[in-house]
Amino acid sequence: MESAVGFENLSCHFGEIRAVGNVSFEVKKGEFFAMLGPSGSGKSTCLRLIAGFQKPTSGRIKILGEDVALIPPYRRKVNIVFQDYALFPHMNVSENVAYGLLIKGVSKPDRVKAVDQALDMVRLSGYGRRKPNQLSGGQRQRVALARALVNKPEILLLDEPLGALDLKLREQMQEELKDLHRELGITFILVTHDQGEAMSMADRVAVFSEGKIAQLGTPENLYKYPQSPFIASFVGSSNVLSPEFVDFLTGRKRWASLRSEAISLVGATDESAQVTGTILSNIYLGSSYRITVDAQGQRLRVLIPAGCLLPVEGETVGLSWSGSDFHLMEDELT
Amino acid sequence: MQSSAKTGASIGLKFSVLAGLLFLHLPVLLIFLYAFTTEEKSYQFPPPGLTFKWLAVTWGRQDVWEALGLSLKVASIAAIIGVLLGALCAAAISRSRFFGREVISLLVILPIALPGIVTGIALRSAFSLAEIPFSFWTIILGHATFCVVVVYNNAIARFRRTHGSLIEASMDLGANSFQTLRYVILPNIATALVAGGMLAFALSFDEVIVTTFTSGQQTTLPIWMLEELVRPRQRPVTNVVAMVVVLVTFLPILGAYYLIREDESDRNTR
Repeated sequence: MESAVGFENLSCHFGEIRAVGNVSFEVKKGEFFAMLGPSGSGKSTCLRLIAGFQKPTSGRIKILGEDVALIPPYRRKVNIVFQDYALFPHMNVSENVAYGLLIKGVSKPDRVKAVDQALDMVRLSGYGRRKPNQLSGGQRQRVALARALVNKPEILLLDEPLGALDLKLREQMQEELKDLHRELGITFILVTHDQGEAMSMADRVAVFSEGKIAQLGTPENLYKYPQSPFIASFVGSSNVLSPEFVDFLTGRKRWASLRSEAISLVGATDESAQVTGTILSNIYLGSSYRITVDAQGQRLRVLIPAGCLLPVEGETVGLSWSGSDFHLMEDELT
Repeated sequence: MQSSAKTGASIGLKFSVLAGLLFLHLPVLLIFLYAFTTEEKSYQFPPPGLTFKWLAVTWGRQDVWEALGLSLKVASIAAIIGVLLGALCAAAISRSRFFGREVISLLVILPIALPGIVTGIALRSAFSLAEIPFSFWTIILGHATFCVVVVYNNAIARFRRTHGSLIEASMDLGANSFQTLRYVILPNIATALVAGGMLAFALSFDEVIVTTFTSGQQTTLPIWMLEELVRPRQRPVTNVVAMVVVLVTFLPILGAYYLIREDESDRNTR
């Protein structure tokens, strides 16, 4: 598989502050790649490094196999959708979308055709004459997408593209982005702090923490086999088991993770029960119940489908899971 | 009583507002009135009669035309210098961080805070020291000191509201620095620059103090008026000229006000 973007031992400092520290990774051509992390973790800096707005302190970036150290942003074959969309307020939608083509010197009839196509693709045909301030947040987002895509980039960079949208619109846009990616077959690189967004859209996810990649893998891989308590808690609904609890269960003092839906409730005296615990609460989530259990001082969240027999608060139950779901983390204890 | 006080028992308030406004503007109306009086020597009230002849007399006075021409030239060139330097300075201050940035920002604004007389004396002694003869250009330099500030203030406010990401977006879409300047930056700050330039023009057009210190033999319109008041020949001519000055300065300021306001509301609905 060819490489779209490659980072080699890349560091980026702002004065004394290290934004990105010695990061190496590769994004494959045609991949939907997500950079996930809390704010200040270095993911946005990485995106700006690819776009060329930021210069690395050391290390190399390759785009489509070519070292881009000396290539300014306006000559890179990438386009970016900004978090605040950055639509030009003095131009209407068509002019915004046509901007890249105008700069390239594309003739007017070709420009008009390409803009119509791009607006059609993001389902905004007929909005060409509106000004950005006459559009809703979701529509502006689509204009920003069209403005980037009309240039037929090899790589599309998305900087928290759904951050400013409300929940329903966000879910809808997630699907549309996924469809667009499938349709166009180009590389998408997404920056987000929303794990749900990264996990649902991306082929592979790099989780950033303090300027480094904490773990890189497929969403399933991250979910099932987190390498550190940070990943497990950041990526989602896994129970992070403390070394003390793991020691009690297995005799090994390591962090471990156990997904909520992998645990089942059995009778306290049932022989399949690996541990017993007390029910602290149960919360109705629609399709399931989330039950919190206290076992040997370790809080565990258990998801059971609605319609099952519900335990009551204070009841003692047995907890059971299959050995393959119990995941010991690789991180050594410090 | 209580409710009427809330809704606007402000007959007293209304009255004092009206009185205040009249106090501010009646004298200006009087100037207009005396431009049409038949009495030449004194400000007699009410005017004994009204006539349009002073308009014709003023039209025929060569010294008025010279002074008006000089003032228009000075104000235009000073405003243009103000727009160029003010815009560049605002761009530098708002877009980069460098040592001494705050100091420069303060120094640029200082001329408008300084009393005109101090600026005037300072410039006069500086010109003398440098042995620069007083001329048309020394007046322009004097006026440019405050024209730069006016434009700078307008432009920097606009730069602050223009997102840095617009420039990055333009670069990302393939535009180099010049194309970005032409297609993105200038259209976004144009109204601020025009408004600033208009204000600068108006300020320069009726400037007296700095001009007194920096002019040689030249007489700008306000200076001409001052001289006329001291040694009057045909009093009502001064009033006619005053009317012209009011129009020439009022219209650009009104224009600037509307430009900034419309733009503001345009941005707020974004």
